[in-house]
Amino acid sequence: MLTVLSVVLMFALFILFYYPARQERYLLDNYNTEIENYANTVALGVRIALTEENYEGVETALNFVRDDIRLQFVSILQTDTIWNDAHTNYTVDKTVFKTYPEDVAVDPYANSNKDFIIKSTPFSTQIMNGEIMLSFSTAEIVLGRRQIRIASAIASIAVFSIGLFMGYWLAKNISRPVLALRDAANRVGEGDLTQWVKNRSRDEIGELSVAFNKMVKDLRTARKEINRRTKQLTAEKIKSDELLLNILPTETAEELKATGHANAKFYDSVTVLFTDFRDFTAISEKMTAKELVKELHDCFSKFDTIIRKYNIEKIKTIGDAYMCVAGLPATNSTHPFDAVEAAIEIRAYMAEYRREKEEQGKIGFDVRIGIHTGPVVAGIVGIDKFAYDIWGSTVNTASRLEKASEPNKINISSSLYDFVKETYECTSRGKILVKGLGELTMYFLETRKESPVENS
Amino acid sequence: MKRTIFILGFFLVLLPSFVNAQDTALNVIGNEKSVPQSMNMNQLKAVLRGEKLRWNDGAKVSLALMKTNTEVGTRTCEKLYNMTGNELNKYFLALVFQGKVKAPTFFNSIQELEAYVAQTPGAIGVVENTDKELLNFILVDGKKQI
Repeated sequence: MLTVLSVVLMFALFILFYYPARQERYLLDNYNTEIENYANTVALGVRIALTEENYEGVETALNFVRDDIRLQFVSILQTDTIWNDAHTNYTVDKTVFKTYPEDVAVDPYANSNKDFIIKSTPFSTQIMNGEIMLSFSTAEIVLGRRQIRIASAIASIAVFSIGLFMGYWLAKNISRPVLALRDAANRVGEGDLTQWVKNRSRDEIGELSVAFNKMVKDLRTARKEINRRTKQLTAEKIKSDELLLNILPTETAEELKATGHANAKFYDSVTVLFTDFRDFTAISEKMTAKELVKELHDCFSKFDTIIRKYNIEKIKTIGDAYMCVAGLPATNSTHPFDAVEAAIEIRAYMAEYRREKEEQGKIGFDVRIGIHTGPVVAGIVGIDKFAYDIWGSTVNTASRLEKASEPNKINISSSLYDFVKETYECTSRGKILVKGLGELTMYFLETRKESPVENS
Repeated sequence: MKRTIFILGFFLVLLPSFVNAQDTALNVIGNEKSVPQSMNMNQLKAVLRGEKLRWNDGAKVSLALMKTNTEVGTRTCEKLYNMTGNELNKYFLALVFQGKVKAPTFFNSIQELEAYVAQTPGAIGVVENTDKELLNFILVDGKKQI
C-alpha cells in the first residue's frame, strides 16, 4: 500500500512540476524557432526583392507575419558602415528603415524581455544591408504556460485520485486478504481452529484463502480425531492404571511407571494379616465350582472393602487364604491398630455372613485370622504377571498364627500384643508349638476395651 | 549655295538629337479592360507610384515595369519616378513592407511585359517607344510618347 502510494505520489509530482517545466521549455523553444523562421523568411524575401526585383516572396512572407496576432512589430533595419575621416576605423549604425505597424517606435538595439521575444535576421544586397527585426508578444506563451499548469494540476489530481483508488483496490483485494490470512494463521498457530477466511475473489489470493480454509478444516478434523483417540488412550490408561493399582501399591505402581522397575524395600515394622476358612475343602466339595468362586468372591470382596478403609495393602489370595499387610508401602505408626480393626470387622462380617447362610439352610465358612507385627521386605519379582509381594519371617509367623488360630478367632503374636494390649481385650493362649518356629506366645484378640487408651 | 549648305548643316546638326529623342521616348500601354485610354502626367505618376490602387471600375491596378538594370527600366525610373533604380526598389520595398501597395512586376524583356499587360486586367506598363499595332497605347497628355 505504501509502495503504491509512493509511486503514485512521485508520478503525480512529476506531472505537477517536471512535466509542465519541460513543456514550457519546449513551448518557448518552438516559439523562438517559429519567430526565427519568420525573420529568416522575410529577410530572404527582402533579399530576393532587392536583387531580383521580385516582390512576391516578401509580400507572401509579410502577409503571414502581419496576419499573426502575436506580432508586435516587424522592421527593416538599415545597417550603415561609417568610417572615420582617416578611414582607419568604422562604426556600424543601425537605423529603422520601415516598421509595420507604422506607429510603433522601434529601438534597433532592443533585446527580448519577459513581454516580448525579438529575433533579427541580417540580409545583404547591393542596394542596402540590414536586418529584419521581428517582435512577438509572449502573452501567448504565458497563456500556454498557464494552460499547461492547469492541465498538469488536473492530470496530477486525476493520477493521484486514480492512484488512491488503485491503492484502495489493491489494499482491498491483496493487502487486506493477505493480512487477514496472516492474522488467521497466527490464531491457528495459537490453537484456534475456528478460523475462517472470507474471500470470494477468483485470483491467487482467493485460491490461497480456499487452501487455507481447507487446511484449517483438515486440522480441525485431525484435532477431533486426535482428541477422540486421546480420550480412548486416556480411558485405556485409566483402566491400565486402575488395573495396575489393583495389583500394586500406588507408590510402587508410580515408581514402576516412571522407571520401568520397582526396587525391593525393607520395612522394619509392619503388621501382616492372614485369614483362612476352616474346612474349606470339605465345604467346597458340596458346591459347584461356580458357587464356590462366587462365595469366595463375595467374601474376599468384602475383605477388600474393609482393609481399604484402614489403608491396608492386599497382597494376594491363595486358594481360600487372604493375605494383607498394614504399614506399607507408606509407613505409619498405626499399622497394628489398623490390622486389628480390620480383623475385628472381618470377623464380624463373617459372623453375620454365617448367620445368613444358616438362615438359608446353607453352610457358611468359619474364618480364622492370624496377625503378627515385624519387619518385611516388599517388592516385585519377575517380568511376567508380576505381583507385589512381601517376604520375611514375619510373613511366615503370621501364617503360622493363622494356622494356629481357631474358627472366628483373631490369633495375634506377642509383638502385636505389646502394641495393642492397652486398647483391646486379649486372652493369653500361652506358648504354642508352631511348626518350624518352635513355641510362640499367642493371644486371642477379643474386643476393643470400653475405655480405650490413647494410641502410642 | 551657302544658304543651302547652312540649311543642310542645320538639319545634320539637329538630326541626331531628333533621332535620340525618338529613341529615349517611352510608351505607356494598358490592358484593354479597366485601364483608361488617356490620362495626364500627374495621373500617370500617381498610378505608377502606387498612389492609385484601383481603376475607376474597381479593378486592381497592376504595374508592369522593365527591370531597373535594363535601358527602358532606367529611363522609366528617371522620367516617371525621378529616381535611380535602387531608389525605386527601396521605395517599393518600403510600401510593400507596410502593406500599402502591391509591388510592380518587373520583366527582363519587352515582350514578356507586353504579354503580361495584354493578359492581365487592370495592368498598366511602360515600354520603349514602338509602333506595334496590337498594343493598347495610353495617351498621356494627349500624346502617345512620353
